[in-house]
Amino acid sequence: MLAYRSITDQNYPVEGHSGATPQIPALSIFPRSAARLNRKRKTEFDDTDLIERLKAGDEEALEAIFNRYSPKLYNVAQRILGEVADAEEVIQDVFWTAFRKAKSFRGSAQFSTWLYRLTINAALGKIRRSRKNKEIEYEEYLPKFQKDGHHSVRPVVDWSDTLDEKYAERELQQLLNDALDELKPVDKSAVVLSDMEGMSDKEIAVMLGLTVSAVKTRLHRARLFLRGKLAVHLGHSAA
Amino acid sequence: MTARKAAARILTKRTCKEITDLIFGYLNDTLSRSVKRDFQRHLRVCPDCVNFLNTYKKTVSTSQSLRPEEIPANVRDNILDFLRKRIRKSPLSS
Repeated sequence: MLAYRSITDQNYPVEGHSGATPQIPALSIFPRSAARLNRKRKTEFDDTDLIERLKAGDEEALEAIFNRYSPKLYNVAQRILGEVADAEEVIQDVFWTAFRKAKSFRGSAQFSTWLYRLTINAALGKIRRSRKNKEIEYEEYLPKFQKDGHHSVRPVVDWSDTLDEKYAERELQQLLNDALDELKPVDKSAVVLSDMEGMSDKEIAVMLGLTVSAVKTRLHRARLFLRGKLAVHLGHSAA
Repeated sequence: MTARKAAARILTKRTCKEITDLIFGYLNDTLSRSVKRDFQRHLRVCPDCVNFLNTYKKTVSTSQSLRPEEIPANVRDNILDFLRKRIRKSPLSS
């Protein structure tokens, strides 16, 4: 590992950095691209008829809604809670609440948004009540900088290509799942909604009762933490 | 001005810490034109930040590729059973 050398040092760039001009990575890889959002919108269902039947207490309508939404809602609950039994309890409560309170659904928000909110509130509430909400310090896995704002550990290693080579897909998924489980519940919820459900920062803000700015800050910090965890697993510095 | 001095000037204008803070906005394409230009200029002369950005992007793409947790059949059956029983016990229409 090379010690940091001030950029005003006459010898900058330091050894290992004097090669070809670095390639700037392509711009957007994020899921909230227009194409992905369009795909998402197209798969959304028209729930109007089912909601009306649900409001009238139709058991079959509830089952139809369950079949439609439970896979996604279960994934969110299970990711946030980490336990099958907890996720089961939350999903059970969500659909029972949806049945009982369908009449209060005014249609001002999409029905699916309402269900997601019920799920996230129930999951986060369950964590609060169970006191499993351990306070995790991210600092150890966040990038470190010198006083002048430049990377403190150099060179920063690009392990992006070696990750897939070193780990089989299942191992990699487990590795990231374990790292996700170390995130604070709200941060984990934001990552799940963004990366797995393809929601926009604005949608996530509504779901989590945060400002859009707070969502961005939390997502960025969570990703820096996850990146640090992966780096350390690969034998590199999180910094 | 020598290339080295020019690089040092760019790296002083926006530090690696600032560039790291801007990654989220850069990848979502929400940076202003001038900030984006600074960001890209920094990357042209800073391999560390290029490598950092590549690994950040890899982290996000790995997270996006996580397979959804599937609802086990017995869990699905348990929930539906619960809902049916609750509805019969206290139907809304009564």
